[in-house]
Amino acid sequence: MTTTQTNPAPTTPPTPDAPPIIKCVGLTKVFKDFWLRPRVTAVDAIDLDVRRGEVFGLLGPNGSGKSTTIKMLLGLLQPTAGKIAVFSKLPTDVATKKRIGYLPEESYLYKFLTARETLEYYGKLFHLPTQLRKQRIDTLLEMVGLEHAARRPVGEFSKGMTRKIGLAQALINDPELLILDEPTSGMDPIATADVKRVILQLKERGKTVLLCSHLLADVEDVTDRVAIMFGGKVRQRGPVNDLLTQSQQTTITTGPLAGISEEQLVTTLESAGVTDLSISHPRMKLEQLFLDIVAQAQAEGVGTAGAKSGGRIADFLSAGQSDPQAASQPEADAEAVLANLQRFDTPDEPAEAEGSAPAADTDSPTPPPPDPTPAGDEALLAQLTGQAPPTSPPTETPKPQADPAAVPPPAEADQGVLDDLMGRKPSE
Amino acid sequence: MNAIGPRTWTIVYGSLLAVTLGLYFLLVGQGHPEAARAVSGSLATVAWGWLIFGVIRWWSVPWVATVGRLIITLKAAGVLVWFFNALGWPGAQAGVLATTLMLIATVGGLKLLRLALRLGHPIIGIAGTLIDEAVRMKLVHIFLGTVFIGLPLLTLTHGSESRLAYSVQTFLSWSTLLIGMSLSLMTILLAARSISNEFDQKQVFFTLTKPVARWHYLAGKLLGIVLLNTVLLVVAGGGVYGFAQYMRTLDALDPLDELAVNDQTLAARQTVSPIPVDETLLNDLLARRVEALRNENPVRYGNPGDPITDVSPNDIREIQARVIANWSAVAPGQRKTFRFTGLEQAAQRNQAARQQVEQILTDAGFEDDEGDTYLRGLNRAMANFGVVVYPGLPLDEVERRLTAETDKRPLFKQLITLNGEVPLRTIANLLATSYQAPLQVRIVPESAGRLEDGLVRLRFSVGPWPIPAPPMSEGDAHVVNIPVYRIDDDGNLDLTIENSESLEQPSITFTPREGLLLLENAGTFVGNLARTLSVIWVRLVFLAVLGLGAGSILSFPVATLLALLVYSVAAGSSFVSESIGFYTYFPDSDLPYREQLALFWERLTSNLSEGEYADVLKMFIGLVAKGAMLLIPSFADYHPGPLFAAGRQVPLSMISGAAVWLIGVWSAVFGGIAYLLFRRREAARVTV
Repeated sequence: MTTTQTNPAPTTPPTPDAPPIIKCVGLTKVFKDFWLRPRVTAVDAIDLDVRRGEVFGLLGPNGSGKSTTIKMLLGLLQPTAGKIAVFSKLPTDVATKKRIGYLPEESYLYKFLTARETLEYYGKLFHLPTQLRKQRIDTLLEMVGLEHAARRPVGEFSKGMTRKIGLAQALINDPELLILDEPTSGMDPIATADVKRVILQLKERGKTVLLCSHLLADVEDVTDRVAIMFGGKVRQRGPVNDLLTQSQQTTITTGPLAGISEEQLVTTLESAGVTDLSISHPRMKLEQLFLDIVAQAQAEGVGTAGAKSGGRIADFLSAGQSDPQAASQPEADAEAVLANLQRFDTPDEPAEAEGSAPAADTDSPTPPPPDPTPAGDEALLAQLTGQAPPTSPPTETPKPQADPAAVPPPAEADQGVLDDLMGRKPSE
Repeated sequence: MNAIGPRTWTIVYGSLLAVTLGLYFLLVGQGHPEAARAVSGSLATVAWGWLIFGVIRWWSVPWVATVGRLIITLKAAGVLVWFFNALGWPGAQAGVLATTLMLIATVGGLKLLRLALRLGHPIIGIAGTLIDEAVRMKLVHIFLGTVFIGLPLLTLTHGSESRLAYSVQTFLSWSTLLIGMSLSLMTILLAARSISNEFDQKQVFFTLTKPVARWHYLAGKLLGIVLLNTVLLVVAGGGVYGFAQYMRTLDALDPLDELAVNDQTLAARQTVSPIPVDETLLNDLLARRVEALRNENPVRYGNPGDPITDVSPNDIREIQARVIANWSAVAPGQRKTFRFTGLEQAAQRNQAARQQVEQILTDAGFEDDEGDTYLRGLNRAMANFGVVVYPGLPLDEVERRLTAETDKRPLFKQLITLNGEVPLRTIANLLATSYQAPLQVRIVPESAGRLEDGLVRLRFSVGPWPIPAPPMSEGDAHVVNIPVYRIDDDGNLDLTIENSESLEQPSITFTPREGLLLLENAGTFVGNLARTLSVIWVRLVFLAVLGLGAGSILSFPVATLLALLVYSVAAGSSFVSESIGFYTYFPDSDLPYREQLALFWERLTSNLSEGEYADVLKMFIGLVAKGAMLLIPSFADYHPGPLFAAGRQVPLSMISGAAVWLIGVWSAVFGGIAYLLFRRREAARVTV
C-alpha cells in the first residue's frame, strides 16, 4: 500500500487524562432462556474507558465477551446491568451514531448490491448528499483497492473483499470513533497490513479506534492500550508497552560481527558479569517476507482478480470531528462526560429520537468542573451506577490508574497471563 | 478504437441518423424518391451496425446495457409479432405487443423510482434497497410472470360463438383477481422476508448502528414496498386497459352485444335505488305496520299510539326492510311506478348533447318539413354523423340496409325506422342519445308463486311511452335500456312496471337494493379502473404493514404463515364467519351483540340441560373463532373486482372506507404494536 499522505494531520498522542469517549461501569450482560432463567453471563461487571485519539485493543479468546461488549456499546444489545456512555450519550442515541463507524466481526452485506451500491446505501443512512456521497465512495473504493470491482455484486466477493467493503462503509461518515471487530479476519497478509496501516493513519488523524481481536500480532502492532478479557471479565489492562516489556531481560542488536567471533563476545560479556547469555541471528518475520514477494510481483505487473492493494488513505477522513455540532475542545468534552455522568440516569426506554439526549457541552450553561483525579472519577462513577464507591479493587481486575506509568505492572506476570489466555507458549 | 468512448459512439449514431433523415428528405424534395430510399436505406444499415457495435463494445457501461436490453426486447417482440402475423393470430400479436410495453414500462418505472430515491436520507436509502432486493431476488418476477402470461391468456377465452360482453366481463373479473392475489402474495413474502431475513443474516448490525431510528427502518421498508406496489399496479392496470381495448375490437355477436361491451361493461355506472313517487308513502306504510305489530305484540313493540321512536332501532330496521320489500312487489293486475331520483347530471349531459345536435341539424338545413323535404333534410343531417344515408329509399329499405351494416349502432336504426315526420327536438334527442349510453334498469325478478315456463313477463313504460323488454328468467339479472331523454326536468325518472292480469302470473317481487336498480353511466372505464386499483393498493398497504410487523418480531416462516393466515381470513371473512355460524350454531352476526350473547347463553344452557356436550364444545370453538375474527379486518367491504367487471362504478366511499379502516385503523394498530415490540428488540440478541 502506498501510504503517501497528501493532507497530513497533526497526531494527537493519547494522554492518560484525555477525555473518555467510551465509558462503561459495571457493565453486565446475561443471556436468558425463554423462561428468563440466566443461561450465560457473557459480560460480567466490566469497567472500561476509551480515550480520545487512542487505539484501544479489546482482546480475548473466542467467547470471552468482546463482541457482546461492543454490541452493547453500539446499542445492538441492552445491558443487563451497569452503565454505558458513548460520547456522553446512551448507546441507543441515534444522533451519536453519526460520529461512529463500525465494522462487525463479519461483513453482513446485501449480496444483491454491488460494491458501489452498498456504499451508496450506507452513505444515505448518514444523510450524505448525492455529490458528497459519490466523492467519498470513489475515494474509499480506491483506498481499499476495489475500484475495479465497484459494479460487481458483493455476493460474488471473496471474504477479504467483503471485509474491505465493510471497512469502507465504516469510514464513509468520517467517524470520530471507529469500532472494528476482528477487522483482519479472512484477510490475506497484504490486506491485513493495509488495514493496520489504515488504523495507524487514522490514529495520526486524531481518530479514536476500538479494536477487538484475538489476532495478537495485529493488535500489538497498532494499539496504545489493551484490555484482555476472559470469561466475561477484564483480566488485565494497560498500555501495550508496559504490559509486554520484560524488564528482566535485555536484547542487544548489532550489525554483522566483523573482527570478533561469537565466542569472544560471550567471553567478554561473561567477564563483565552478564549471565543467562545467548546469541542468535534475528529472523525476518514471515509476514514481511510474504509482503516483499507480493510487492515484487506487483512491481512486475502480475495481475489478480481479487482485491488489489489499496491506495492512499481517503483525504476526507479529517483530523478533526466530522460533525460540526459535535466538534469541541477535548477539555469541553471531558467536562461534558463528567457532567453527564453526574446526572446520568438510564431511562427505561432507549432514546431513539434524534437529539433526544442533548449534549451537556452545548445545553448546560455551567457544567460542573471536571475532576481529573481517580478519586473524583470513582465518586462520579458511583453516582453513575447508583452504588457506593468500592472500598477495595476487585482481586482479579486492577483498577485503571490515572497515570499508568506511575505504577508499572509486573511485566513477567502480565506476559504470563497473556500467554495463558491466548494458549500461546511463553516466549523463550 | 480505444479513443472512442460511449459518448462518442452516441454522438456518431445520432449524427448518422440525422444525416440519413436529412438526405432522405432532401432527395425526396428534389424529386428523387428512389434515390432517397436507396441512400437512406444504406445509411440506416450503417447506423444499425454502428448501434449494435457500440452496444456490444460498451455493454459493461450500465446505460449502454440498458439500451442494449431495450433493443433486444423490441427486436424479439418484432420477430414474434411478425411470426404471429404470418400465422394469422391477431390475439397473439396484441398479447406480444402489450406484454412488451408492460415490460418496458416496468423497467422504466423501476428506474424512475431509483432516480427518485437518490436523496441522502435513511428512509429513502432503506426504501431503495428494499426495491433492489425485490427485483434482484426475483420476487417481482413472480408477479410479472403471472401478469405477463395471465393477461394475454385471459383474452383468449373469447370464442366466436360467445357473447363478447361476457368474455370482457370474465377478463376484467379474473384479471383484477390475478393482479390482486399475486401482488398480495408478493407483498406478504417481501415484507415478511425483508426484516426477518436481515436479522437472520445480520445486515441490521450495519443498518442499526448508523443514525437510523427504528421507525426510520420500518418506514423505509414500508415506503419501498408501497412504491414498488404502486409501479407494478400502474403497469398491470395499463395491461388491463390495453387488453380491454383490444377486446373491444373483437367481433361482437350483434350490435346489442357491442353496445353492451362499450356502454355496460367497459363503463362506470353508478346505481340509484327507487323510491315511491309519493315520498311519504313508505313512512305511512311503516307507521301502519308498526301499529299492526303493536296490536299483536305490545310487549316487544310498545302500545298503539306510542311514538314510533320507542321501537328499538333493530326492530325498526327489520320492519323497514319488510315494508320496502312489500312495496317493491307488483301484484297481478297492478301497475306500480318507481321513481329514480338524482339524475340531474345525466339530464344536463343529454340536454347539452341535444342542443349541440340541434345546432348541427339546423346548420345542415334540416327543418320540420313534411314529405320528401323531411327525408332529404334528414339524410343531409345524418351525413354529419357518419351514418350512411340512402336518399330516395323508403324507410323500411333504409332500415334493412342499416341492419346489414353491422358497425352501425342500434339507435341509428331506431331513428331511421321512425314513422313519418318527427319534430326536430325528437330527432336531436335520438341522435344525442346515440352518442351516450342509455340509462339501464337492472332487474332481478322473483315470483311469489310458480311460473309455468320460468319466465317473468312485465310491461315497462315511462309516462305514455312504452319501453320494450323481452321476457325475463326468474332470479337472474336483466337490463332494460331507457333513453336518457326520458329523465324529467327535475332529474327524476318515473318507471312504471305493470304485471298485467292477462298474463296470469303471480305477484312479482324485487329484492330491496339489488333487485331493482338504475344504472347510470357516471364515469369512464379508465377512472373506474383507477378506483379499482386504488382499493387494491390500499389493501396492499395494509398487507405490507402486516408483513413488516410480523417480520420485525418473528422469523421468516412464522411471520409469513401468520401474515398469510390473516390475509386469507380477511379475504374470506364473510365466508369464514358464515362457516363458523353453521358449524357452531352461533347466533347471526347481524344481530346486536347483546342479542347474540343472550341467544348464545340460551342455546348453551339448553344444550347443557339436554346433555349435548358435543354441541357445547362446538359453541365454545365458535366463541373463540368469533373472538379471533374480531382481531382481523374484513376485506369483504373492499372488494371492487365484481363491480368493476360488471361495469359498475366503484364508489369513492369504498376507497375512503378502505383507507380509513385498513390504513388508518388496522394498519395503525398492527404497525403500532409491531413498532413497540420492535423498538425493544435487541438486534444482536442470541436466540436459541
